[in-house]
Amino acid sequence: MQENEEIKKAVKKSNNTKNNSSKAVSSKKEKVEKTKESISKKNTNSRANTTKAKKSTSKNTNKTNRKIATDVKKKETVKNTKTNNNKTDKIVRESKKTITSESKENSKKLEDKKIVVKVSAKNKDSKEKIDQVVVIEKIKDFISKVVAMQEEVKKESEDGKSKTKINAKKESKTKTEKKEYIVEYYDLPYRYNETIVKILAQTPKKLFVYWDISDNDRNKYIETFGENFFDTTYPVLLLYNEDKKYVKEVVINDFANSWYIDIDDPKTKYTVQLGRKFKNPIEFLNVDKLNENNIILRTDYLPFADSNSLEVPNDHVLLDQLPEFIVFRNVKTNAEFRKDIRSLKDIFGNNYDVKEFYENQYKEEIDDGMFSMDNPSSNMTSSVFK
Amino acid sequence: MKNIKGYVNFVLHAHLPYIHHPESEDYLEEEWLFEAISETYIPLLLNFQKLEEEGVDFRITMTMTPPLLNMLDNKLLQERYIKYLKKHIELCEKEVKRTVYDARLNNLSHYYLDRYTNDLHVFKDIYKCNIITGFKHFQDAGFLEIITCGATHGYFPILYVNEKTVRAQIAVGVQTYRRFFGRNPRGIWLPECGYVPEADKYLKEFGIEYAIVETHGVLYADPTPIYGTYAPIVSHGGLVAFARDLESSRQVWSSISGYPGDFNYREFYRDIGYEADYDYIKPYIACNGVRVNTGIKYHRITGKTDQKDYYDVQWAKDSAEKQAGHFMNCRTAQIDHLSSYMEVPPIITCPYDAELYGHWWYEGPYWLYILFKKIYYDECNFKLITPGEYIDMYPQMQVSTPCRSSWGANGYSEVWLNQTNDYAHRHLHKAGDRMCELAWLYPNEGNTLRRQALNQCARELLLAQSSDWLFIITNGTMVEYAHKAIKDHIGRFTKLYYQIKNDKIDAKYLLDIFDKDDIFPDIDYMVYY
Repeated sequence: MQENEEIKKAVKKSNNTKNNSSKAVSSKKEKVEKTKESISKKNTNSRANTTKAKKSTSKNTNKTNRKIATDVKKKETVKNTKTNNNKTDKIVRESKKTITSESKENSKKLEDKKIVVKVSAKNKDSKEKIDQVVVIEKIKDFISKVVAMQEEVKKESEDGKSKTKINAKKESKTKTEKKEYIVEYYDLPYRYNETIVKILAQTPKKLFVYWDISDNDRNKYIETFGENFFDTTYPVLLLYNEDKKYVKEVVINDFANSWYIDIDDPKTKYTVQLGRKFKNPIEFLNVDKLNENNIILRTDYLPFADSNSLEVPNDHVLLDQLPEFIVFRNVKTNAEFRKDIRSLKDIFGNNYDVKEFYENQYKEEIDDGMFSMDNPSSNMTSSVFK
Repeated sequence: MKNIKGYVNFVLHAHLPYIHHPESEDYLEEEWLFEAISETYIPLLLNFQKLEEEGVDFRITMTMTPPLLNMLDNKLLQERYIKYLKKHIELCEKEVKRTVYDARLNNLSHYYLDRYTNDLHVFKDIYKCNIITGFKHFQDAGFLEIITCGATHGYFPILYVNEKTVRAQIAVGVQTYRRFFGRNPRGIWLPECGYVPEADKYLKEFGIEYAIVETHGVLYADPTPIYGTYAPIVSHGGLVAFARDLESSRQVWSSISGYPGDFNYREFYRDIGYEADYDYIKPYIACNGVRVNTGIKYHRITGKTDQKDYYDVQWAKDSAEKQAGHFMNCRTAQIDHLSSYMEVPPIITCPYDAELYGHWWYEGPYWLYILFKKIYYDECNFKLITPGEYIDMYPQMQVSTPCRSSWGANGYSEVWLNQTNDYAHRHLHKAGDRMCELAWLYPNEGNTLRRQALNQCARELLLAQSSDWLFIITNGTMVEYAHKAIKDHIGRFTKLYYQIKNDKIDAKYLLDIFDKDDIFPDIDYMVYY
C-alpha cells in the first residue's frame, strides 16, 4: 500500500499534474516521499529474497515496519543528510545557470552531498553480492507499477472519474501478458545548434576536426556585419602548435562540418580555432554593434570558437633523447632512485648500451620507422567475430 | 630443478559487444556470443580443468569485459544458448544419418554431435548456465588472473574529449568486476589497448595497478625504456604498463607462417551452412534464409588449394603439439638471450583476443593446454606468470610514460576514427556532455522514477560508446547493425534526456528500453557527477 502511494506520487510528479501547492508543502511531500521510499525500499529488499515474500501478509509488513522504525532511528543521521540533500538539489537546480556560487552555505551543502555519496557507496558495497536478476526484476517491477499508475491516471483524467486503486489482479495481469515492445526509430540530428569546435588525433600525422556554429551566433554576425556576412567571408581553421609556437591556416568550406588536417609534429600539443576571414577589405564597420555583441575583430579575421587542446601521439623511439639519469620506482613503496645511464651493466659486467640493445632487438622497427601491425591481433580485434 | 631466467605472460582478451534483443529472436548478432561460448569459452574452461586435474601449475591472464559478463549472466541469453545448442544437436543427429556413406565424414559428424552434447551438459549441469563461475573458480584457485576493461569497451583516446566519460567507463568496469568476482581487479585491458596518459589518474583512483599496451606504447615511451618491451614500466601517474612482445606475436599470428595456418588445422571458411543442400540446412541458418556459419566444418586447410581434404582431429592435435614445442623452444632461446642483458628477469607478454583461440584457430585451446603442460614438465628456462605476480616479485621498475597508442591497424586511432565512422563522434561527445549535465542538475536524485531514468541514460550512453560499432563500420561487415546500434542508443539517451529535463518521464517507454538494455542493473549515474 505504502509503495502504491509512493508510486502514485511519482506518477503525479512525472505527469506534472496541475495541483502545484506551495513550495513548503511540496518540499514536505518530498520529505514524506523520501521516507516512504526508504521504507518501501526496505520492504522490497526484504521481499526480494523469495518470490513468495512478494505476497507478504500484513503481519510481515508490520514486522518489517517495526524493524524499519528501529532502523530509522539508527539511520537518522543519514536521513538528515538526505533531506538536506533534497534542499541542496532544489537550490542547485534553481541556480544551475549561475554556477559560480561560492557561498559558505553551498560548500556546506556540498559537504552534505559527499556524506550521502559515502553512505550510498557503503550501502553499495554491502549490496554487491545481490543477484543481478533480482536487481533487474526489482527495477522492472517498480517501473511497471509506475506504468500501470500512469495509465490509470491518464484514464481517470480522460473519464473524469474518481481515482481507483490498482488491484492485485491488474498487477499480475501486466506481468503475465506477453510483452509488446514500442516500435522505435531514431535518427541522429544533423547538428546540435551550438558553437563548438573539437579536435581528435587520428594518427601522429593527422587531426580530425568537427565544428558547428549556432544560429544565434550566425545571426549575431549578420546583425553586425550585414546580410551578406557569410558571402563576404570564408571559413578557416587556425591550427596552433602550442609547443612549437606556430600557426597554420587551413581553408575549409561552408558545406563541411568536419575536416582532416595533416600535421607535422608528433608528440606536441595542438589547438584549433574556428573563424572566418573577409574576402575583401571591410568598407563599413558598425563599431557599436561590434562592441554590443562582444565580437573581436583582428584585421580581416574573426575568431568564432576554440577547440580542446590535444597532444598528438609520438611516432618513433626517443633514443636520441635518452636522459643521463634513469629514474626507477618501487611501485609498492613509491620510493624512487636515479641511476646514471653510463653505469648500467649487463649480466657479464659489461657496460649496457640501450641503443645497441634496441638495434639488436628492434632493428626492423627502427629502420622502418613504424611497426608492422599485420598480425591478426592488431588488424582483427574480437569484433571480427561478426 | 629448473634454472628460471624469465617469464611468459599469456593474456587473453575475452570481449563481445552487448547484444540483447528480447523483442526478437531474429538477430543473427546474438549468435556471436553462442559461438564464442561453444568454440572458445567452454574449450578454455575444459582445458584449464584438465590442467588442474593433472596437477599442472599454470598461469594465464584473461580479461572478461563487463558487456561479456553481463551477457553470460543474462537469463534470456542463457536460455537462448541452450536453444542454440539443442538446434545444433538436432542438426548433428541429422548429419550422423546423412553422412553414413563416408566413414571419415561420419566420424566427424559424430565428433560434432559429441561436442555439442557435451557443451549442453557442461553448460547446464556443471556450470548451471553460468560459465562465469568456471572462470572465477580458476581465479580463486590461483591459476587465472582476471582483469577488467572499460564498461562497454569505449575507446579512451577519443572519448577523452570529455574525461568524465572515460572515468565513468573505468568506474563501471571496476564495479562490474567486483560484482562478479568479489574483489578489486588488479589490472585492466584498456579497450583496444587505447592508452592516454591523462587517464592514469582515474585508473589509479579505482585501484588499477597495471594495463596491457601495444608494443610501440612502450617502445615510443618517454624516456625510452632501457629494456624495451621486456620489462614493465611505470608511468608518472603510477600505472604499470606491460607491452606486447613482437617476436612471439608474429610467430603465432603471421598470416604467412603463423601457427593457425597449419595444413592439418580446421578450415574456417568451409561450413555446411554454406555447402549443404539449401532445403536441408534452411532450419539451421538465418531466419531470413541467408546462409551463415553453423560451426560444423568438415575440412582441413589442406594447402593453397580449393580442393580441401577432410579434417582429422588427431592430425590436428599432432600439429598443435609440434607447434607448442616450437613455441616453447623459441621462448627459451629468446629468454636466454635477453636475460644476459637485463638486471631483472625478462617478461614476455603475449596478448591475444580470446576468441581467436577456438573460434578462429579451432585448435588454439588445445595448443594452449599442451604448451602449458610442456612448460611445466619439460626442460625450459622460464615459467608462466601473471602481471600481478611479476609486479609483486619485481616491484622496482623504470619510470617512463607510455606513448598514446592502440592495437588497431597502424597503431593509433584510424580504425575508430576514419571517414566511414567519424560522423559518430560528435554525437557520442554531445551525449557525454549531456549526461554530465544531467548528473549536475539532478545529483543524488531522490525521486525513484527519475533516478531510474537517469540510470538508464547512463546505460544508453555507455552502450553507444562501445568501440565495436565503430570497428564494425570500418570493417565493412554487418555495418547496418552497427549504425543502428549507435542511432538507437543515442536516440534512446536523447529521448530520455528531454523527458527528464521536461519532467515528463514516460515510465512505459523507460520500462521498454530498460528491458532491452538491461546491462549494469546496479549502475549509479552519479559516476558522471
